[in-house]
Amino acid sequence: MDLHDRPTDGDALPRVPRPPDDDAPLRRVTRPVPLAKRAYDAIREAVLTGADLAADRLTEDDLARSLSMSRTPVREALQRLALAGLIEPSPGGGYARRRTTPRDVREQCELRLLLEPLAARLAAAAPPESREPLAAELAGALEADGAVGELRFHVAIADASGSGALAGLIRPLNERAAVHRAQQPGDAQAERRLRAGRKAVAAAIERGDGAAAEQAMREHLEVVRAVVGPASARPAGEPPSRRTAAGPASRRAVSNPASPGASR
Amino acid sequence: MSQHSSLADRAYAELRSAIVSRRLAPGSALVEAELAAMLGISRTPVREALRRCELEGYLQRDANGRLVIDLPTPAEVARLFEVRELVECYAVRLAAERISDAELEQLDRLVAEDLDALRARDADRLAELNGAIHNTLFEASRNRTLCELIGALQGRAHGLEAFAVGDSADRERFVADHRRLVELLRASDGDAAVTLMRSHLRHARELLLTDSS
Repeated sequence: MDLHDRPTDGDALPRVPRPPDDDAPLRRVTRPVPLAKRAYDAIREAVLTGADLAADRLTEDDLARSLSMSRTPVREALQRLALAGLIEPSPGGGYARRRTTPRDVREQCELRLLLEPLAARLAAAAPPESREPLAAELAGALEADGAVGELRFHVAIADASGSGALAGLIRPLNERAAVHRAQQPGDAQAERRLRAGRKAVAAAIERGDGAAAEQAMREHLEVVRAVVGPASARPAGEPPSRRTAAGPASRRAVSNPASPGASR
Repeated sequence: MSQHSSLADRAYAELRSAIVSRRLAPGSALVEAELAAMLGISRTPVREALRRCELEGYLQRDANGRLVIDLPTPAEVARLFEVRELVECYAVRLAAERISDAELEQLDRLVAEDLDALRARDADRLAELNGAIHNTLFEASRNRTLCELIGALQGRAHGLEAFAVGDSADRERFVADHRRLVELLRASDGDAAVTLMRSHLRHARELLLTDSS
C-alpha cells in the first residue's frame, strides 16, 4: 500500500519513482498483484495526487475502461475507498473525492497533534539498525512533492513507531488529510515551510533524539494546521454545546452523534 | 440454556481466562483432545470454545492450520495503553463540555447494568458494558473523525480485557470509576474527569502487565 510499491502499468496514472534497487545480481521476483488490489492502489493514488483519473466523478465504467479491467474489481476498490473515508457517493451517481468540511480539518489536525508527536518520539527511540531504513524512506518522502510527500513522510514515521494502534490511527488520518490537500491549490511558500518542518523532524529522528523529534513534529503539525485551514474561534459546523443550547429541541439535535465505524 | 451449551460456555470462560492470564503460554498451539482431557469434558464443547476464542482474536491459525495463542507482548500492551491514554483523555475532556443529556442518561443506564453484572459476577457482561461506556464517551466528544477511526484501536485491544484478569476488588474499582466518571461529566468537570480516566486506564494496564510478567 506504500505509494511507491505499486504495479507500474496504467499509463493514465502519475508515477512515483521507486527507490533505486541495490546492485544485486538477481532482481526480486514479484507476485502477480490481484486485480482488486491493483484497482484499489491505482484509484487511491489518483485520489491522493489529484490525477486526472479522479479529477471529476469516479464511475465504475470509466475506471474499468481506464484501467483495462472488468467492473467487479473496480467496484470492490471503490467500496473499500469509501469505507476508508477517501471518497463518498456522488449525488449524480458514482463517487467523488470526499469533501472535507472545516470541521473535518479541525478534527484531523487535533488528532494528529495528539498522536503524531508520540509516534516521532517512539520512532527516534528505535534501535539504530531499524532507524536506517526509516531514514531512507524519509529521505525519499522529502523528495516527493505536495500531499504525496507529506503522506509518505507521516505514514513512515507512524509505521516505525512500533505501535500498531498508533499507526492504525495515524495512517487513515493522513490519508484523509492528503485527500483534502489534493483539492487545494498549490502554494509554493507553504510547501517550503512544510518541507523545512519535515526536515527538522527527520534530522531529530536520525539523531535518535526523542524529545527533539516530538517537539519538531508538534511544531510541524502546527504549520500544517495553519496551512490547511484558518483556525477560527468558532468554525462552521461546530455542534451546539450543551451549555449554550439546553432546550428540548436542541437536545434532539445533539443526541445524534456519529456512530463509531460509520462511514459517510 | 441446555446442559451442553453451558458446558461450552464454561469451557470458553476457563479457556479465555487461561489464555489472558498466560497460564497457557502465548504462542503455544492448542490441541482439542488435550484440552478436553484437561477440562474433563468431551471434545464437542471444547471445539465450540476454541471457535469462539478464535473469532475473538485470542487464537490464530498458523501455517499448518494449528490454533495458536495470539496475545500482545507486554511491550505491546504498554504501547497500546500509552495511545489509549492519549485518545481517551482527549475524548473525556471534550465530552465534559459537549455531552448531551440523552448521553448522560444512557451512561446512567449502562452504569446501573454495570452494578448488576458486578453482583452477578458476570465478567463477560462487564467487559461488554465497559466497551459500551467507553464508546459513549467517544461519541460525546463530538469528534466524528475519532469515532470513525477508533475501531482501529479496539480490534487488537480485544484480547486485553482487564476484567478477565482482575479479581473482584479490581472489578469493583472499575465499576466505581465508571460511576464517578459519569458524575464528573454531569458536573462538566473536565480536569477531574481526565485525571480519573488516566488512573482508570493505568490501573487496567498495571493489571495486565503484572499478570503477564
